[in-house]
Amino acid sequence: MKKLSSALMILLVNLLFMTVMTAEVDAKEELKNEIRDDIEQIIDWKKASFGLHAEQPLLSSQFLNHAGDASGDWYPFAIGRIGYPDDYRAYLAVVEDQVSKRYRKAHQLDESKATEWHRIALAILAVGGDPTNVGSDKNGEPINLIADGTYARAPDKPLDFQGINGLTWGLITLDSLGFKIPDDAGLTRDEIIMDILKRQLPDGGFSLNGTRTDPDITGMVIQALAPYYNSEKTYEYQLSRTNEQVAKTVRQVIDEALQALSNIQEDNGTFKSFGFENAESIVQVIVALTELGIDPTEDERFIKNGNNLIDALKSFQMEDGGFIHSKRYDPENPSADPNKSNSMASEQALYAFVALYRFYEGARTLFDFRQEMDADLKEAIDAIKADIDALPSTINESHKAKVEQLFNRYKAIPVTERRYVFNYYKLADAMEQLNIENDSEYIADHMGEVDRGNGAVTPLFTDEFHRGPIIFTAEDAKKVENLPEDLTTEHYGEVVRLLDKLENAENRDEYEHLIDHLLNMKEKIEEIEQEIEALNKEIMDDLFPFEELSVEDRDKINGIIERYNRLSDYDQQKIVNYEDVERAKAEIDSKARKQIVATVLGILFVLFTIWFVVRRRKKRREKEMEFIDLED
Amino acid sequence: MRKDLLLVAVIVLIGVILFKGTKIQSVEEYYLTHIDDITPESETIKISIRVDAVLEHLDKLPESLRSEKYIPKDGIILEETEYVLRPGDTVFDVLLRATRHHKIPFDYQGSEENRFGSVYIKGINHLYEYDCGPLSGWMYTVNGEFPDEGVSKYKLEDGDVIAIQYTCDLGRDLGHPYDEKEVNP
Repeated sequence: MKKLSSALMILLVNLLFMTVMTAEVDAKEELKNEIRDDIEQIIDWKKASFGLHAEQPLLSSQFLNHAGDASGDWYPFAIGRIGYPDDYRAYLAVVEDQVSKRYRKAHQLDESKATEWHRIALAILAVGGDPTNVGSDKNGEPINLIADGTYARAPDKPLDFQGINGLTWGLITLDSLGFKIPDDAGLTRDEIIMDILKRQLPDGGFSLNGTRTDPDITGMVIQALAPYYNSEKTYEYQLSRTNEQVAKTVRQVIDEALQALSNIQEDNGTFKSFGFENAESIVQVIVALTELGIDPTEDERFIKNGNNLIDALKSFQMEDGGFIHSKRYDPENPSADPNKSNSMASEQALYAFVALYRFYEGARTLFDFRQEMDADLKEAIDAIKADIDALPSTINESHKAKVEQLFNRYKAIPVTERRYVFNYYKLADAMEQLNIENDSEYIADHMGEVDRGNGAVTPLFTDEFHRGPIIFTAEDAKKVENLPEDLTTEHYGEVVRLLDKLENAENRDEYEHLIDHLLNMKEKIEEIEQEIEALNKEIMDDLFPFEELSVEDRDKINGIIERYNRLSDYDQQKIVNYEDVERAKAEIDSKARKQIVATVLGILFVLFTIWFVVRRRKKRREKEMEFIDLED
Repeated sequence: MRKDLLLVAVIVLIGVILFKGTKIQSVEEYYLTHIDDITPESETIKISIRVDAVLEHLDKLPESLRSEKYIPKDGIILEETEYVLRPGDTVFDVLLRATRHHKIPFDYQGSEENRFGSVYIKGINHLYEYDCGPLSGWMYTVNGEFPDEGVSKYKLEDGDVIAIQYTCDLGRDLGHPYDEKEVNP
């Protein structure tokens, strides 16, 4: 009887435990579903803002023309990381073409902003491309965005030329796939890490140049340093603000930065940057937490008055699905109309939700682009985490064997995967208490694993996602036919998309004849782009100052006007201040007319004067004659 | 005799027209060529472009920029110039007009190409953001105040005085109370 009752007890306790567990699982499932909905809403809002229907891919038509610019790249990055069904091929084709074109020009990308390279590299990875092998430069060589954007930059435009953002995003980009830095590059991961660490503020956080923690910058620093959280390496450096010499591990610095963030979090769960509560600051903190494997709905440091970061972020969502930057008018960011969804706030909210979704799915973190872990490794990591959590809160000698055994299991995990043992710090603390030597490898020494590699779209959003063979359909062919005879630069993205699809299609032979047609179109569009550029340059060179224009410039101006008129309405908009040309024409026409009038008037003047003189003479002679007559 | 007088009058008239050089223009042409002429009735604004803040940090600049051509000794790229205020003019419109008329190279990012929805000034006279350190770039004031809007969003009013200035310290070297704002919003 006693046995039975105790067995029953165990059963009951187990049942109770399981119900609690199921409730927890259900809550997480519900949260995941909500996040999915939010993701979909933001994408639909973005589509609508480009005049696209919800069923059309976002990466199409006009949106493609933004591939490679700051307003375009973060969307494919975000949706690729969750595998929202879309036309990733199209984006990759266009961004590669854009980067190639820019590399062929003198200024490549924005030389002073390393983050341009980082943004594009991350977007390319997210859609399945290889950022070390992008299109081709002017010598026909493949472009390596990773090298050019981090360790092989122009000597006068180093990674930190633009400040701390260059360093944090540079490190994120290098670690995205574990890219190796060549030995002779004159730059190491440790140097980048240290360069970031030394910028820490006395309050524990980081900022662009202010003296107090800025949530966005601090969030990004944590994201960049997160892979090194479990590294036991102590960095010795001098703080740039105070010149104080310090020796710290990345973990110490991240913990201080987290505390600094917790300290400045508002009661409603939001953060202020430059004095204003805003969506993006919350985003950067959420992403930072997910990179560390911290659940934002559970960590007490980031729940204020019951408001967690997700609640706080959602308070910036509008009816249309998009997000606003700030709920009140922000003088520092005027485009952020408090009543209108804003592209930057929305794209960042989108990738925060994607980071959260990946976290709850147990996928790799947002910025870890390596192939997803296999089940065995995942299981091993989960088991270690569970056993670390099971360690008692007060450790004594009796736990030594257990702790040592756990540490050996931890060390059996590949170095670059150890960051996923998110609660390793508890184990490290226990080891310190027990004076067990911690000889785990320094993570930075092992992060460089590959020279090149493709990213991949992570198929989390839908099961239907598949990458079958590419088929160029009759519908695609029709789209080619429907492209207008008079092409404009507006059709650039679409032409590049169709060409790429056809060239790589399994049934390429069927539509072989369209390839030349599309190539011609692409060439034509490039010619138009060059013409627009040339016209803008000539206008700048030839027109100003207006006062110095002369009739001799007439042919030049008329030539410009003729060429302008040959452009489509769409492309004419790309001529800067065309009014200046009209004005120059008017100036010259007036001057020419003035010359003609002056000439005519001059001739008339002379003629009339001659006539007058002749008349006077004649009259005088007549009078003299009369006089003579009279005298006679 | 009367005919003579008439003839003299015609000759004098032609002479005067020739001397005065009167233009014969259509209304449209007149409007185009006189759009920037300042008359007592016209509403105007003033604009200047200066790089004074860089003068103290010449050592920070890339070698290629350390020349009077890019950084004039007096710090003036464009001295205060008066322009007619056209209806709806923003700071960007006037800056574009002024740089074009004076052939000053001006590189900007269109409002469509960035995430701020406003034109962003990248470089003027070959001096670009970040050239004088990570906190450097172009800022502007209107009547001495640092406006809270992007250049292509700020609508100008009659009599406004615009100063386009290069900063090496996020505006602090131009007297922008940056830190205070951060501490005491």
